[in-house]
Amino acid sequence: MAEQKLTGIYFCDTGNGHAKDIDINEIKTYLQTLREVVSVWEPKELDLTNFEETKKKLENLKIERMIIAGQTPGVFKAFFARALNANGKNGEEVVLASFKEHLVVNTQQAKTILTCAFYGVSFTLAAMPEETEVHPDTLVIGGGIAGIQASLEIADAGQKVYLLEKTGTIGGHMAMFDKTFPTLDCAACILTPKMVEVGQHANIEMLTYSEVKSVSGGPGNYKVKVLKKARRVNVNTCIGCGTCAEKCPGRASSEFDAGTTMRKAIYIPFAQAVPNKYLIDEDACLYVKKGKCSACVKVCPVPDCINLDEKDAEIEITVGNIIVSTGFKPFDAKRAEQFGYGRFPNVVTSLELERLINAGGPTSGEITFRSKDKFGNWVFTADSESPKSVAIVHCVGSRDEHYNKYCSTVCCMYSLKLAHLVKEKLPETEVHEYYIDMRAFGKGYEEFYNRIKDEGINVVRGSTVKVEEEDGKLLVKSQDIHGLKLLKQHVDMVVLAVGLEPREETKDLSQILGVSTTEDGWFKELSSVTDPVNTNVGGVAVAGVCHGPKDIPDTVAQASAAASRVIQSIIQGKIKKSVKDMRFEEVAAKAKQQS
Amino acid sequence: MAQIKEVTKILVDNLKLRGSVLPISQEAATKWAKDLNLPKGGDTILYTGNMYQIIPYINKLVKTLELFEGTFFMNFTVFGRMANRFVNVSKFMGGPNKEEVKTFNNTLTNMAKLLQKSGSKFGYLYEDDLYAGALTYDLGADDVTLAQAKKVYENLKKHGVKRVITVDPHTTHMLREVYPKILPEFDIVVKSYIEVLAKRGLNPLNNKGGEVAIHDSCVYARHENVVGEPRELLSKAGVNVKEPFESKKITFCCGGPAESLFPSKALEVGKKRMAQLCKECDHVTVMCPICNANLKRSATNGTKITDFADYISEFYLEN
Amino acid sequence: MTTRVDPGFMKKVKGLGDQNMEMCFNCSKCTAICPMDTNLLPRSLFRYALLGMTDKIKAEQESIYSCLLCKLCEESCPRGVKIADNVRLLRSYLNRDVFNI
Ligand SMILES: Cc1cc2nc3c(=O)[nH]c(=O)nc-3n(C[C@H](O)[C@H](O)[C@H](O)COP(=O)(O)OP(=O)(O)OC[C@H]3O[C@@H](n4cnc5c(N)ncnc54)[C@H](O)[C@@H]3O)c2cc1C
Ligand code: SF4
Ligand code: SF4
Ligand code: SF4
Ligand code: SF4
Ligand code: SF4
Repeated sequence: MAEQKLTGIYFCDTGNGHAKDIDINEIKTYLQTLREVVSVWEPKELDLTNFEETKKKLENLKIERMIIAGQTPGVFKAFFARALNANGKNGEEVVLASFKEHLVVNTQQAKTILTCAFYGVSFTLAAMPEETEVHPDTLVIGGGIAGIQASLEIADAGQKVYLLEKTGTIGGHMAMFDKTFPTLDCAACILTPKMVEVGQHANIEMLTYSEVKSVSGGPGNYKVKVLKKARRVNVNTCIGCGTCAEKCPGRASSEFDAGTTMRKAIYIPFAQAVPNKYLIDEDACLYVKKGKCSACVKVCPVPDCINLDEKDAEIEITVGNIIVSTGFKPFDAKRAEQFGYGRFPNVVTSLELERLINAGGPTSGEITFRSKDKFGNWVFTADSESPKSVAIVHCVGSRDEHYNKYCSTVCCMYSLKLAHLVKEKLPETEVHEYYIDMRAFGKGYEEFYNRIKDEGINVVRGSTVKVEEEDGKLLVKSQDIHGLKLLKQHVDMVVLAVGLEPREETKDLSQILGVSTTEDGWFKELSSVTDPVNTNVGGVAVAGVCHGPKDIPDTVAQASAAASRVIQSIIQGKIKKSVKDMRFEEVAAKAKQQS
Repeated sequence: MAQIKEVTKILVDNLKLRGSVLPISQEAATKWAKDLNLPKGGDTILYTGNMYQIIPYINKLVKTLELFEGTFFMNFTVFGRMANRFVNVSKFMGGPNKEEVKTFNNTLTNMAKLLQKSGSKFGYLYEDDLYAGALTYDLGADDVTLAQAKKVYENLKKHGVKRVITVDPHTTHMLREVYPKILPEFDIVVKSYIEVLAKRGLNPLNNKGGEVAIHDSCVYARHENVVGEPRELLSKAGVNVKEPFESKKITFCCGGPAESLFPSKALEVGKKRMAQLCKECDHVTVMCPICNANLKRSATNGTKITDFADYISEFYLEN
Repeated sequence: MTTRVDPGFMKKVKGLGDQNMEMCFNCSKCTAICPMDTNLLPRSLFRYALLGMTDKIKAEQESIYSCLLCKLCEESCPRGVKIADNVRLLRSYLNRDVFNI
């Protein structure tokens, strides 16, 4: 064991920063049992506005090293380094024990972090949990591109995967797009073969229209209860002919089309859905609601294919690893009232525009105005007129203290993509784009941006503050920051580049699994630098946007990384237990040993 | 742009030397309370801060400035500022509009009566009811404002005041938000008469109703969060409250605060706002003498503008 | 054209009272919504101040004084910038250091 220097400890925010469950006095008593700790201060005991006095205090106690503990210890680092230097000690000897970084919520954890700091051992090294046996099967929750990629990687390595998806089809958001930035590849050309592969893979068992109900057991051996919601159509026998939907009187807004059109109560999410089978939306079905219809059963050519009385079922599976890849939900544009979404029919969201542009969408790829159908629902149809001018507004719901403070990372780029696609479809249409900063951070992205600027799209630096209606047109208010000009642009259509948000169920799922989330509500990785896929729970990894906003290339990379962790553990036959379950004594002993 | 400096200086000097940005006679300032027999001082007082009393004089000044804005005569203010130290220049600007003075005094009287009706007991400081310094604070003249705040506070203490009922948003903001910030010992509880009336649950004598467009003062709506109270009092009386395009938290300014330095800009903004209000109703109610004055200047097609206190008096007071 | 900057400018302004101009990330929602419709109010003023462009601050007195302190812009500001307070502080600076009031 290395010799320890005389150490002082400063708690930077005992006043309000801590969780209530951290007992400072208990920690203090414990720290004083460490021989070289000569003093422990709280903010009220050390006046940091008075440098000389603090320096004297350190000098009198012959302190050679300072540990700063709390939520934001980094803030005080420079101050103590200066004090040590002034005393002729080494200013480098300031150690941070960040409670925030290590998700400390109680006294035991705080003691652990401080002990590691005291022994100068990295927490991630000291807190190396023990290993246990692993069951070779894996559960992937969420069938977007992240879940699809991870499942295929593991299945291709010869291991069994359950791919659990909440909706009637896998594919996630990517399936809704026409093209993807920056290459403008056809999204379906990439995704559809992968989806089909998942559907046919001998090692993948799809559990669509299903949810995780509960998880018990532990790392290496999880027992997962799965709720299989009633599809009311037999996935094995349905031939996907669609005769049922033609006759079905029940209607609902189409989720897959981002609400741009209506679908029937018995429906297939989209033509290339996997599984390519119909299902019944119980909220829209007249039989389920009122017991008064069975038109679909009458016309279905396959006997006993539709069972209107089917009930939800529950199954239990056993897996060694779990990958969470539940993705995101788009920001609800109605919340940003100033842009008039929901008030002005031709203020649309980016996701709606994606569907309009998609040849498989409600307008077969025509960009048209929203209109009312004969039932009074606002929808898009191919026979409506097309806009002569379009404005795209960046950062809707992101980078804003009123909504989400973070940057959603993908909307700058998808906005450029959408601008390009609008111009491609409607070459005569003016396209204006309003941004704060252009975040073209990835490989080939800056080039993509420059290309778009050359396509005659008016890209304006300056955020849009408001959309109003004037003389039958939409009025977009901004300032052109470069040209120093106030802009009042009249356009026919406004597209809101909505940000990415954690889904509502993230909270429940994090509770069921025990995985921590960030302040913003995304799932938290163990360490953003050294372990970006594992979580504080052994055998649970994250992939894709459910871990934080990212584009498809990054999503796929992370999904492959998560899969490789799983495969690694299966090959070794061992898996680490949860960091969160480690006891203080265990970590402290290890830290002491390693120092 | 010499006028910014010069006008600021006139106002600052006035506050320093004469206790108000535009000094008016004691008699003019306290006339509204003549027949009310309000006790002098006390636990709770009605504090006018002289805003309603000064505005007619400011209007006169604005008219004079407007004539000169952008012309050679603007230099007049430079001269004015030098002379102002020795004689009260504002005196030479001619008297204010008599009708306006009468209306504003009547508004104050109505406020006091409404408060009495609600059961509130309060006094008045008469000649010690000082201007709170809103204009100099807004102009960034911090030293004079602080000196004035001290004076106001001493005065309140001298009369044993613990709670203050204010009559306009600017004075409310000064006393409630600004004073405690610049004068940490300031411990007076401040409420506007609208808040007091709503809180005390004053009931109307009749609810014959009517229709009125409401113009929120920026200061009430955004600085002081007085948004629900006036609407409550109006709807209780059966009034159909018309909300203009921008209202409540995002209310559009009347332009008034630019009045003393840029009268024509103030007018431009006022016209924009009037257009929004006129669309809703040909009768507009306002809660601030500055809004009142500036919107009246900006009104073109005979839209009626009534102070909130006067408007609700129709329902809450016997005439 | 050369522009002189005073690196100590913000220090002076901070000495006059609370401000948070550095929170501004230059999106210009405020300027776009401001009823005064001047291209400078308030975003550009903060840029000048943060860069210490004292000459610009002096030259743009008119914008600084034409602000209504109405806070309409603050309702839209994504960064919680106390715009009205900041503008008022620039006035305090002018009063003190330029007009000598
Ligand atoms: C308008 C728009 C355009 C975009 N364009 C591009 C582009 O051109 N290029 C690009 O690289 N990126 C683009 N993106 C980003 C891209 O959408 C994401 O990077 C990608 O979809 C992330 O995939 P994912 O699998 O993590 O999440 P998702 O696509 O959201 O998939 C998550 C899946 O999990 C399922 N699920 C959710 N919760 C549960 C649960 N509790 N249980 C079971 N299943 C659940 C969902 O139903 C869904 O199928 C765009 C985003 C938007 C909003
Ligand atoms: S009619 Fe029957 S077989 Fe055809 S899609 Fe509908 S449920 Fe499937
Ligand atoms: S029973 Fe339900 S799903 Fe079938 S046709 Fe009727 S409404 Fe549609
Ligand atoms: S990616 Fe661009 S549009 Fe999206 S939040 Fe970030 S800066 Fe705004
Ligand atoms: S709105 Fe706020 S962040 Fe944006 S430019 Fe104005 S002050 Fe800065
Ligand atoms: S506070 Fe000033 S800058 Fe902001 S909107 Fe009002 S006038 Fe414009």
